[in-house]
Amino acid sequence: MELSLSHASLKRDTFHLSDISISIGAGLTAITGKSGSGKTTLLSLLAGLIRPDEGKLSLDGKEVEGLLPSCGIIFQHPERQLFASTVIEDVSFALRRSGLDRDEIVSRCEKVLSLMDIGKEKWNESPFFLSGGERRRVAAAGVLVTEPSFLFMDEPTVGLDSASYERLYGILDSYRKESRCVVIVTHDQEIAGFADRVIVLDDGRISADCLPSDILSSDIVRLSEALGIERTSDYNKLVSGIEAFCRGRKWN
Amino acid sequence: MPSIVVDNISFSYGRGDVLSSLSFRAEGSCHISILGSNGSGKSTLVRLIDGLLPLRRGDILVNGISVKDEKSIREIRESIAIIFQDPDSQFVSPVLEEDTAFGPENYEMENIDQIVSRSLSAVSLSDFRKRVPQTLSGGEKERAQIAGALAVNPDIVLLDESFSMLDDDGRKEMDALVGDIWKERLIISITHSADQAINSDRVILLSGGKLIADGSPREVLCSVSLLRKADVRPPFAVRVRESLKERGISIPPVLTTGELKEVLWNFR
Repeated sequence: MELSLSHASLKRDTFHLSDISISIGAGLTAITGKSGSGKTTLLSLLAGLIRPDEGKLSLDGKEVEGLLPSCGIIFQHPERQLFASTVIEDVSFALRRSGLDRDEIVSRCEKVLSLMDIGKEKWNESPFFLSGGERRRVAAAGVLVTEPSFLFMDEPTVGLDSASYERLYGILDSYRKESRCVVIVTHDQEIAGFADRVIVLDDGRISADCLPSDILSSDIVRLSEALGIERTSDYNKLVSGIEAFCRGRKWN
Repeated sequence: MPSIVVDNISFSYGRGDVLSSLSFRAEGSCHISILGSNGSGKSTLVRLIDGLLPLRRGDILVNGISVKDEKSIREIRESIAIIFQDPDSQFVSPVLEEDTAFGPENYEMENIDQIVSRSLSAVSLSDFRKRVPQTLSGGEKERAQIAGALAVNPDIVLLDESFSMLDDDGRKEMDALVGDIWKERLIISITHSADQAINSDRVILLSGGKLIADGSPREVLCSVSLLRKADVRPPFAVRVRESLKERGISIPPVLTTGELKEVLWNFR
């Protein structure tokens, strides 16, 4: 499963991408860069939401002309993706259109709504009367329930509280373990540090494509550098490094 | 002296209280962070303070005026500026200078052109005054929102998850700008991020619509148990300290990454 964008360029009044060539396979890829650098545009190109003026998008060597197959997209304001009159109608919409049998639909909805901590008492409520965080979780559930092979998320950590942040880590990890392809656009250095690969955009061009620890300057990376332990962008590796650093020494 | 007195308020959208028996007082030139998880009632509180939602239980006094006093609601709104999370949803005019002039025009202020020029200059957007707001970059849009707020010369500034769409550097730049131009005003930041509350003068922690802590950033943000109760992720340094504790390594309380680094360097 390899998604490729070759020599893709796009120019509009307010943004542009120039000669982008990348291949993305299974695992977690983070696209980062300054505001206005073209991150969301690149995500839209990869998902097939927009077509480049030049260049092409292909999947396993075959050109993709419309929306990428088996693709789920969670936009920057997922709550704006809601449309149905009840939570359950919204979340089950894509499955009902796909012709799955009712038991399978119910089972998948139960699983994903439980993962998103949306209790059954809210299933028949209007999603528009839920809190902001609940609305975002319901909208995300409507995408995750389709179990896409390609998952695209635009700034998934904006507005997340502690539990939702941990939940996001869990989702990204499980998709990675299932060898699905996840692409996130983020300015959150900590979540980018959790990725297998980071693509950095600068003014519409790729300025780096590397391991997270090679490029990020998060608190995690900076602290590992300052202590002289192995440079890492992963929180758990940092804590292990500090643990080793402290063992056998005394605090003065 | 700008002031907000929240006196035993409760509020419900119809299914359980979103805010419950909440009281606190904020006055003078200071920066207060109201911290809480999704659904803790933070944004509802902002809307009640500005009279955007009707308050029935308890009272809120803004500069001594009750938000329940419908005749004075305009006076309250003239003293408050709110900057919301998503700048795109707050632009009202097709040209930046008109957008900045929107508040002063509605408050029938004089010398509007001067006010607009001064406000855009303060946020380094003078060269952008004829631009369509939606075509600005993320950071420029946030600065445009600050210009719009600055133009109405508010006593009180409410930042509702403002700047959360920017990267770390962009957010720090906006925080510095806000602190600089409104240093004589009362600033209240609504946030779910403990890291963003570190530099405030005071932190009020909400959980399930109730106030569960009110103190200095060090008092509130170093308490992992309080933050857990409120479902708020502790600041980075506090999290690292807690993770080390779970592995049997004790270090003194720290709030910032700089403090953490210093403490760890003392292991010899």
